[in-house]
Amino acid sequence: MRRLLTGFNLLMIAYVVAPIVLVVWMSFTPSMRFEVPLGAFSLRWYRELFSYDAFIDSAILSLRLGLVAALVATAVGFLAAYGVVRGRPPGSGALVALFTAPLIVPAVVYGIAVLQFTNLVGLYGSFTALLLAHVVIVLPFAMRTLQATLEGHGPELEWAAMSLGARRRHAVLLVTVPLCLRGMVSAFLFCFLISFSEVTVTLFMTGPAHQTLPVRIFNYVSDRIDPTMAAVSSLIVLVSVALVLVLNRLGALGNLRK
Amino acid sequence: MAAATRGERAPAGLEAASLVKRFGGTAAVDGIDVAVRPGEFFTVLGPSGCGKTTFLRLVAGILSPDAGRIAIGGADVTRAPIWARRIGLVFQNYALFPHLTVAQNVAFGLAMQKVPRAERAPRVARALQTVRLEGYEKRKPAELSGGQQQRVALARAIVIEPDLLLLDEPLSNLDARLREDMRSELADLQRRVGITTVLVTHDIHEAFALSDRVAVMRSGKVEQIGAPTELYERPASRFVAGFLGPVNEWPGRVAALDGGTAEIAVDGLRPCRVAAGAGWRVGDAVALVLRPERVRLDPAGDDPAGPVGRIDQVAHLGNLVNYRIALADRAVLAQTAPGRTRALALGAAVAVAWDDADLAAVAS
Repeated sequence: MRRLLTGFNLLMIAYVVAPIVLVVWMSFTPSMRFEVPLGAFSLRWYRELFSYDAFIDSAILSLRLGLVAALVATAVGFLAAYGVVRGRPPGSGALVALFTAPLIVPAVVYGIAVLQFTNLVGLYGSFTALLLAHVVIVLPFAMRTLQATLEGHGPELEWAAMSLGARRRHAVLLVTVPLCLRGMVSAFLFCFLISFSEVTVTLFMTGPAHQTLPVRIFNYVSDRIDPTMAAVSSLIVLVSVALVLVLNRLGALGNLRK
Repeated sequence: MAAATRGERAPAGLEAASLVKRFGGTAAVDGIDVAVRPGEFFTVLGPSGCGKTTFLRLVAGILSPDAGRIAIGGADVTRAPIWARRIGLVFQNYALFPHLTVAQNVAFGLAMQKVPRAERAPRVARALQTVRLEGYEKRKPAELSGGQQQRVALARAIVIEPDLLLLDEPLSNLDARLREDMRSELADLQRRVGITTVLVTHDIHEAFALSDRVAVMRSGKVEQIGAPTELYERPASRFVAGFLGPVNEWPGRVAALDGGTAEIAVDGLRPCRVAAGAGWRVGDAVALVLRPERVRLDPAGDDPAGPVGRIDQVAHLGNLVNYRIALADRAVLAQTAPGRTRALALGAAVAVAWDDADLAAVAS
């Protein structure tokens, strides 16, 4: 029974990981076709990738978008989480539900809605529109992480600081924020990761001007298929794995499961 | 020393009048009137859930009262924010800033109060000296023991020379031995610094050992305020009598009134004479309370000193012996030093005696 279970687990892991391993493997092929290289390895498609400006532009856009969206979401998420955890206003449950709603609303629905909305207010196709949409999408992750962090640090420290003459904002800046730094870094990285790999909503938001990296890949493969895709996918996997490892070290993955 | 830490400021008093705080439908603090004298060590004592912590938080400004008035040093602070109240707060869990060193923790308040930089170091050093923690300046709170952390918390609170020191169960997280050490240290410190102090605790020994006066709280109200011995010897209610330690409680009736003295009839015992309460009339129900250590036990002879009962439980506590005596249909508790009454064994017939002066009468 135990052996059967182990076998099943290995099968599941292989099922999840094998395609990724294959893509990474294929990215080193010297051939023109999508195939697993045996014997001969080459960095040809990486060179190809870096000489293709559109990909570089998209990568920079994705990076910029991810960083700014993560920064805004972490800041807004901290304020929202602080208000909910410390203030316990009436209806705080509804507020939390509102802030975390993007997790539940289907991405396609949100994509269409935000497309209509940005069109209406004349922001469609702008970086601002894309940024706002991404902030909404990643906010739940910031909110959850920071809520858990704040709940872990009771209000006594702030009370102590305020009894010593600190205004609330000083107590928060000098005591709460330093103590929540770990949680804030986790929230930031999380948001970046989610934003960096978001496709569905972004597809609705991007005109020709603002194609993020995942969208660029998506459009590219609807045209033709060559191993450049494998190379760029490998790089994205590398970045994601690195971030997840950092997050795990920060203990943030546990917070999200709560 | 006192002058060094308190500067020229005279100690301030605390006044709370008709203080009310409700959470949802229930009043956690339900009309409290308390006047703490300048320089006094005042304790609010009560079982958990009696509203004592809520009271402290109202005084600190952490919570805002639904009704009533709070004044510190004569100034109304009912609506003042916590940072404007000039209070020192010490919590059960110490609440030290874990990312700052001991010296930085103590200096925090000085920085917040914009004390010139040059003055801070000597004042921090003096405060740490007051709590006997010289040499620990560079440590982080996590590197200190519980008692040391609590002393840092005290130093941090007194260094800003607050008008009022508020202590919320400050010794409850310490183990028994350390708690006693810290208790006497706290008493010394308070006397030396001369700061008006309000302690909140559920620990009777802590309250009695430290306080000039104690307020006993129950369900959001103050049951009685007085010096520890007064509360213990002359409880105003059955609750106070029972909360402060084991007690014999004898329900009776006023049989006669003679000037300031009342004669109380208790079934199965001799009539007892106590000071009459205000408004008592003949026939009123009154309960007499008597501490076990005030009960005298003598082997029953031919001429017993009081009603005779039979010992039905003996518990040796080392320096004390507790007895339970079956007398008529009631159980009488007695406590004596061992040795003196060695003849008193389980099942022995004993005469139960007491001085009426040791009785306290409470409304039943």
